[in-house]
Amino acid sequence: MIRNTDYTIKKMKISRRKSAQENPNKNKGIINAWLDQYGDPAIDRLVKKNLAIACKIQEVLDRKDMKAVDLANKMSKQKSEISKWLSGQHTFSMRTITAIETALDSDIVHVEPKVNNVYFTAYVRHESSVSMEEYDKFEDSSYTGDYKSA
Amino acid sequence: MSNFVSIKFIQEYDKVVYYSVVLNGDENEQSVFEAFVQKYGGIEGDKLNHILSWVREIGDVYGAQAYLFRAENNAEALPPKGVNREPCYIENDTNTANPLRLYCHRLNEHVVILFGGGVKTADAVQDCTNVRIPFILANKLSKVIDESIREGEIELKDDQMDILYDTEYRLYY
Repeated sequence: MIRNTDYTIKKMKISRRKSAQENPNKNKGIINAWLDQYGDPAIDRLVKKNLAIACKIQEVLDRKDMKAVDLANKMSKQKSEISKWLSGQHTFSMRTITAIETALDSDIVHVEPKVNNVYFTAYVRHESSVSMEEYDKFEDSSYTGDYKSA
Repeated sequence: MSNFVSIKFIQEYDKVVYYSVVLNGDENEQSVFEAFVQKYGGIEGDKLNHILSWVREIGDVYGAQAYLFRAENNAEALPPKGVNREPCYIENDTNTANPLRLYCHRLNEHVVILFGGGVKTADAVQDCTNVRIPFILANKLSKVIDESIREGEIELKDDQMDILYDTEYRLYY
C-alpha cells in the first residue's frame, strides 16, 4: 500500500513471489517445513522416481513420434493403463519397465556400467619463451626442458 | 452477509508458485491449505506426504502441467489419476489407492491455488461427506478467481510466473 501526497491510500498490485525472494529467511514455507519435519524420505524418493520414469517414457514417445495408444497397441494393453503410467502415479516393477523398454526399443532406466578407470597424465609445454625457430630445433623425444603437469 | 476470501502466498519453487485462500480473513491468517495440512498431517501422514512430495516435485522440476492434475469441474485436484483409474501410492509395499484429495486451481503452468480437501470415502463426491464441501468451495472459488483474472483485478505477470493483486484484496463469493 502506498500513500499519495494528498494522504489518500492507494492500493498497489504486488508480486508475493518477489517479496518472498527478497526475504528468503522470513518463511520456509509450510510444504517444505512439513516434509522436512514429518516427511518420509522413501515416499519422497518414490514420487520423484515414478514421475521421472513417466516423463522419460513420454520423452521417448515424443522422440519416436508415437502416442500413448501406439504403445498400448505394441504392448497389447488398454490405453487407460498407459495413461496411468504416464500420469506418474504408477509404481513400476522392473518387469514392466523392461517390457516398455522392449516395446520402445529404448532404455528407460540406466544402470551405471561397471568401468575400470584409466588415468592419463597430460603435460603442457611452456612455449611463451621459445621462439618458433628454437621450437623447430626440438624433437619431442629428446626434449628435456620444462613441462607443466596439467 | 456475503463471504469473502483473501489470497495468501504459500510457497515458491523454481517452476511453480503456490497460493491458498483465507476464508473471511486476511493474508496473515491461516489459509484453508494450511488447515488441511494441519488436520491430515496428524491422521493421514503418509497420504499427505505423498501429495506434498508431489506438489514439491512439480514445483521444482516439471511445472504445473495439466496431466499432473485431475480435472474436477472448474477446479483440479491432486493426486492425479489415469483414465478410469484411482490414483495410487505405496503402502506396506503394495500399490494402494490414495483417497486423500487436495483440491486446487491451476491458473497456468506456474501458478496454482491450493484449497482444502479430505479423505474421499464414496465413489461420487456428492455422496462423500468428507470432500463434498471442500469440492464445492474449490469449484466456487476457482470460478470467482477466473472471473477476477478476466476483469483484471488479478493480473498474471508478463512472464506468467506469478500473479499480481492488491494488498488487502478480497474476493467475494
